[in-house]
Parts: sequence; structure tokens; C-alpha cells
Amino acid sequence: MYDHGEGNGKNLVKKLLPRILKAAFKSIIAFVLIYLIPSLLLQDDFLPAEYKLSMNIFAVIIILFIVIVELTSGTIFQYIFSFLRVIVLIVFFIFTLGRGSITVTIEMLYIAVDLSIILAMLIFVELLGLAKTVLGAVHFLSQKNEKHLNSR
Amino acid sequence: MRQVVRALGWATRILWVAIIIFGLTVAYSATNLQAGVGQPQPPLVSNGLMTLALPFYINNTGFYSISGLNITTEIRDHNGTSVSTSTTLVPLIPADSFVERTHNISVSLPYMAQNLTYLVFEDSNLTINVLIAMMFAHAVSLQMSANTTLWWGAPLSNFAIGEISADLIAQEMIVPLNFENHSPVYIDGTLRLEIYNGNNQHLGSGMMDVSVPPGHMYDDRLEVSVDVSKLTEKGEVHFYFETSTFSLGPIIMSW
Repeated sequence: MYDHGEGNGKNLVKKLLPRILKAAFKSIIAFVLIYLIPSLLLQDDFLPAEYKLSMNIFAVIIILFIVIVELTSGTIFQYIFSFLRVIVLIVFFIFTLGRGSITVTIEMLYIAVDLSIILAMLIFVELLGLAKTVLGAVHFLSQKNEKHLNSR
Repeated sequence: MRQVVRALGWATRILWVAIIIFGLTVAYSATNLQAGVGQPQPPLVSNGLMTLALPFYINNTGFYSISGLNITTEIRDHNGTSVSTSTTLVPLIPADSFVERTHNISVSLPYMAQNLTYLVFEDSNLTINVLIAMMFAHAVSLQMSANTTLWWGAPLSNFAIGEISADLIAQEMIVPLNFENHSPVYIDGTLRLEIYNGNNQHLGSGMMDVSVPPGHMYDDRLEVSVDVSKLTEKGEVHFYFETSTFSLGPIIMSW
């Protein structure tokens, strides 16, 4: 009994360890790309405080979903969380980029930046990701069914 | 299906990296943009336009070009009435280039004399709205606006006539008048006045050349030959002021 439990634990660690390592590796790359490099390249006063917070939230969303999706990879939850990530990101972009236009007032200077084209590009890429997730889920389920039928 | 999913996955990844790189380079280019305003030139008056030249430069050291740079200054009086609108357009500032231009803020003196006559006589605070619009990297549109106030010095500030006296022997009326030229332009013109009695009958008219440098006061008296037989206790003086750039009048004052 004890031996069997130890074997299960070992199997679980064997199964989870690569996923954890993969999740950590992907998270580090994402962190460097979407948080560290922008922070190093852009001056401190380039973004107003509220948009700095949005940048941090964006990094958290991306890294959180990378970890969840990696840990649930090989299950249907991988696709469910991928789908959820796309929806969360689209909503996040629309709210953060103020439907394509952001405004900042610095003392007497009013600045309006129209980011509609960037927003459209982001939403397009996310929709592409959504299509990939749905197709991936369909493929995953069909493969599972196929295996199930073959095992009969 | 697997190939399609893979292809979509790679397309998404590549597009994501492209967007991140594009966003970063746009932001980096924007932070490296250098712009400044030079010393404004003294106002020049030509063809009825008083023009203030404001030199500016843009050093685009970024990766992307700036297109459709539009600088608009709108001057309004304290009632919100438009005094002038001036626009400077720079169609394209390529990446890694230096551009020097001059934004001319022009005020039409004939328009002002006709529609905003009080500004000829009264000093005032004018509001300047500055709007700068440009397209960055053909993708990001940027608009900046700011308000500031500008003190306006009237060319005929504190314009007043003193006590009008009549010399019955010489058949003349003596009209003392004074004003201060608070404007930055040289006032050089002709002052003409028509004198009417209380029954609106023309008594006489006079003319004099006026030449007042900026910041100087004008204080003189004009002797006008009149028909003393029509003289009444009260009446009106109609002033007309003509310069090479604008005409003014009649300005009616009672005596």
C-alpha cells in the first residue's frame, strides 16, 4: 500500500515536474518580454501611474495564465483556461486602452493618444488565439474519443 | 487539424512578438523625440497682418516617421470670440531627421478694428489655445493641447478727449486728446475728426498726422475751424483713425 502510494507520488512528480519547469521557463520569458524590457527601455515618467498599474496587471494576467495553462496541459482545462485568457485579455485591452483612446492631463497640458490601430491589432491576435484554442479543444476531444473507441 | 492548430499557434506567437516589438519601439522613439521652441521674433506688420514668428524644431531620433504634424494656435478674447487662428503643417518628418520651421501667429488688424474694436482701445488678456496633432509611425495618432494667456496691449489705450473749448474770435474749437500705444507696433496714421452740434449739424472737421512708437504716450490738441453760428452747448465728435494697416471709425464721443 505504502509502496503503491510512493509510486503514485513519484509518478505525479514525474508528470508535474516538466510542466512546472516549462511553466517557469515560459513565465520568465514572458516576464522579460512584457515587463522587464519595457521597464528598462522606457523612462520612469513616460507612463502615468494608472497606466503603469495596467502594465503590471497585464504582466500578472499573462504569467498567471501561462502557469495555469501549462499545469493543466494535456487536459481539457488547458483549452478552457486558454479561452478564458483570451476573453480576459480582450476585455482588459478594451478597458485599459479606453476603447482605443487614452488621455492624460499633465498640469496644463492635455494629451490624447489614439491607439485604435494597436487595439485592433491586439484584438485580432487574440481572436486568432481564440480560434486556435477552439480548434485545439475540438482536436483534443476528437483524439480522446478516438482513443476511447480504439481501447474498446 | 493538428497542423492548423500549430500554424495558428505560431502565427499568434509571431504576431504577439511583432506587436510587442512595435509597441516598444514606438514608445522608445516617442521618448527620444526632441522638440523645442526658439526665441519669438518681434511682431511684424505687413498687409494688415500683425505676425508673431515662433521658430521651433523637431529632432526625430526615433525609428519611425512622424506624419501630418499640425500646429494650430487659436487666440480668443475674454468673451470667447475668436481673434485669430493660425496653422502650420509639416507633412512628414522622416526617422532620424531634424526639422526646423516657424509657426506664424497672425492677427488681422482690419478684422480686429472692425469686429473687436474694444481691443484697439482696451488692454486685455487673450487666451491662446495651442493644439498639436501628429501621426506617429502611421499608426498612433497623438494630440496635445494647452491653454495660456497673453497680455494684449491696445494701440490706442486709454483714448480720451479732454475738455473741448471754443475760441469764438478765431472761430475754432480746440480738442485735446491723448492715448498710449501699449501695442508692440508703431502707430503711424492720420486722425480725422468731425464736430457736430446738438442738432446734429456739421460744424467743422480737422485732420492731423499721428506717429507714436510702441510704449509711448500721445498727448496733443487739434484745432478745428468751425461755424460758430451753429454752436450749441453740447454735441458730438466723430473720430476716424486711418493707418496703412487698418481704418477705424467713426468713434463717437460727446462733448
